Amino acid sequence: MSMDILDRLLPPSWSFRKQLLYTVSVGVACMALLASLATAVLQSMNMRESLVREGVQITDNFATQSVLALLLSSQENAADSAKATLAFPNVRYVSIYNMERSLLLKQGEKVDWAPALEVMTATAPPNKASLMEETGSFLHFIAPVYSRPEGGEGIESQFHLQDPQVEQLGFVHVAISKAELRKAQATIFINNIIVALIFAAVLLLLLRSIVNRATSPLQALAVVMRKTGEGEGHSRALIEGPAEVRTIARVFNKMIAALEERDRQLREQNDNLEALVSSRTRELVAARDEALLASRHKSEFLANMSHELRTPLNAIIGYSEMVIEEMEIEGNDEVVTDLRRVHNAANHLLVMINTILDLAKIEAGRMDVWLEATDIRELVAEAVDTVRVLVKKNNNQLSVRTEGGLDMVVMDGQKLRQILLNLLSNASKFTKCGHIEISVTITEALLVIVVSDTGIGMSEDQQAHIFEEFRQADMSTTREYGGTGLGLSITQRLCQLLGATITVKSVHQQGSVFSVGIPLPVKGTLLAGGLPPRAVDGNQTGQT
Amino acid sequence: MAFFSLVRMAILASVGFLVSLPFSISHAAIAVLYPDIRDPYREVVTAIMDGIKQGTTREINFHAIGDKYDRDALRETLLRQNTEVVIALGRGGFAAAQEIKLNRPVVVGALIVAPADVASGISGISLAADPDLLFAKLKAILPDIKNVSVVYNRANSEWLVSLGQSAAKRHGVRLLAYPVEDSRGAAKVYRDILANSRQSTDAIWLLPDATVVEDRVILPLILKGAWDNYLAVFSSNPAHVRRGALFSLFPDNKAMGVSIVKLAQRVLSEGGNGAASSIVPLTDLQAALNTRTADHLGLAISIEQQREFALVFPAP
Repeated sequence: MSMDILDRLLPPSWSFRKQLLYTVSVGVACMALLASLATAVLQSMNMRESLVREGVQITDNFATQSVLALLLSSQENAADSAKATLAFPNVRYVSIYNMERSLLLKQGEKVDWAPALEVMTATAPPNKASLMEETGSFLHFIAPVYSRPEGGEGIESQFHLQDPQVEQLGFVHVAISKAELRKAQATIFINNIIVALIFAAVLLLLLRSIVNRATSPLQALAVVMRKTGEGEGHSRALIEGPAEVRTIARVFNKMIAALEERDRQLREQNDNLEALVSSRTRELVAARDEALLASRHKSEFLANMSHELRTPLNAIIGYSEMVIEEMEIEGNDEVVTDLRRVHNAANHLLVMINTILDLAKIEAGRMDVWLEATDIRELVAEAVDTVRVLVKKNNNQLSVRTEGGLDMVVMDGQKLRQILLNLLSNASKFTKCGHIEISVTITEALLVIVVSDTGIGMSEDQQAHIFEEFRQADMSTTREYGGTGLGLSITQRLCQLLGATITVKSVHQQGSVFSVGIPLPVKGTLLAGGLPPRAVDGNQTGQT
Repeated sequence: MAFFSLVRMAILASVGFLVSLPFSISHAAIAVLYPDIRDPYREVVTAIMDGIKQGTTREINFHAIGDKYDRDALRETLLRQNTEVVIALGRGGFAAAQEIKLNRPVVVGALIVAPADVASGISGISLAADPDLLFAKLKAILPDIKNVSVVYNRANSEWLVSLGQSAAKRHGVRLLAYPVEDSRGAAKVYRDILANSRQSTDAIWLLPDATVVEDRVILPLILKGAWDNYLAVFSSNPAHVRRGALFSLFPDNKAMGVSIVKLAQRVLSEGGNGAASSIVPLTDLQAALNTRTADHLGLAISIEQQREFALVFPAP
């Protein structure tokens, strides 16, 4: 609250010089006024006190002079002393009362107060003159009149049997005008205030020049700092003025020098960095180009190699089938058995080559997404049919569960089929005498396919690498269960192509759950009529 | 003067009588209780005590009475000292003598005291000057005086005025005594006296009583009136002479001390059981004269006559 008032009186936004001048000016003016008022009040009080003292003295004297008048009840005697008393300055009225409370004499102006004599005589009267009443215009003094001064005899009374009796004869009343006092007090007030104002004015002029002298270096420094702050170059402040300001200026100059040095260093470093970055960028671009080229060559080579390998392999498969049929007809069962082994080995080789070809295609970016209306239930049924042999081979059971009302989805059916086949054949391969379930959930925005099994499962460490190329859960599994170790890697790549995610949850020796979530609709090229070119032969895919 | 000598002789004779008394009281001591006061009043007391010492050969024990004295201790001391008579000086001494209740005769001195002020059995010498000696002095200086006016307060000075009446008669003077109650009454009476007195035959006697002779206002009034009317004013206070009274008779302190101790011895010799109090006015007096007033009154006081005065104002 007090801070608010202070802020309002002395806004913090004012310049230092203005605040200082304002504060000092107000302070000096207040102090001068206060001092003058205090002095005036003190002087006035002193004047009044001295007037009262004078009044007491005059009244006492008047009381003494009135003794004879009261003793003799003589107005003539009273008139002399009254006249003498009225001759004193400010004494305007005197009166003498006897003990019968009647007025012996009064002289002077009319006054605004008269002593209540009943009270005065009934109670103990004051021993000496005292100020009894102060009215607007007068000070009223009352003094008792004694036939002899009280206790005047002192030690001499040792020779008397009794103390001399003090006999009161009456009272005197003296009224002293306050007009002169008031006039003098007013004069003192006015004079004091004038002197105080003159003093304050002179002092303020002096202070103004002192403050100006003291703050001008600060202002100059502020100007330099502002210019620097506004970016008008790095000016240096002049080292002058009071010690603190000189210190600030010196520190400021040092700071500016340090800033300039840092700027210079920064610019240098910046230049170096730019050169370095452009050089590195060039190197990187070259390396990238090289890598891309190498990768393309690798993929082309793989694609070519696969194609070149498939051609003679298809010939082997075809001719071996023909020979098997002929030998069966001839009943040469021994040769048939051997030929079947050849045929199977050739088929196995072809699958592996196809897989490598797929991977190469994906890496070479030659695999596109072709969209067409696909019946998901039918697609799942096909996939299940394809792997049924494999399922039975390991004495497993397979169940299918579908949820959601949609059947037809715009999808790259080839790729989805391959994903399903890969997952189902893996489940069949790594599960013996267990249960495999495929669950499909279709909504407007998402197609979720979950393949779960009760097979050998994987450890957490194995799960971390399961989607890497040429990796199975354990490299030893490749030997035990066969396969290239490319199946899940390809599955993941296919999922990425469809914008889908694939996750795995598995507990070692208890089973695995693979979940594929495909957000709908899938982005890709919509086929107007026919099917996209088949990358892999359908009858071979499910045997991974 | 003759009267003064007579009194002296009478006192001496009584002392001689005392000494010749058959019962021996030589071992009895006299105690003096005196007020412990400052100078210049102390000088007065000291002079009186010197007189006391001078006036007797008996053992005398002096006891200063301050504001706070130990009453019981004093009483015990006095008994131990075998005190048979107590001389009480001043108001303090007198008060102490009454307070300790020693059951011994008390002789009062250095105090303006009237017989009515003291209990029976207390004797003493008042500080008030003997009117007889006053009138004798008056007559010696102003033989033509016929009337002497005195204003008095019945309560304080009745006995003195009464003594004055008889003394006046002896000296062929008419004493006009005006009893008053207070200062106002006194002032008015003095005013009348001053208005009605005749020069050269009338005089004013001022009593040692502050209620009728107030120093500050009434005394100047009297002195001025007397000066204006060529009246003689006399009193028993030398200060009045200094201020313009014609003459006064004031105590000869040392002689007073002698008289007091003689009185004490007499009381002792009488067995200390005097039937009535016997306060007597002071006869051991010295005189003071104002020569200027005397000149004003047209008196020719010779150098010879002036020698009879212990104090002469204004000082030559």
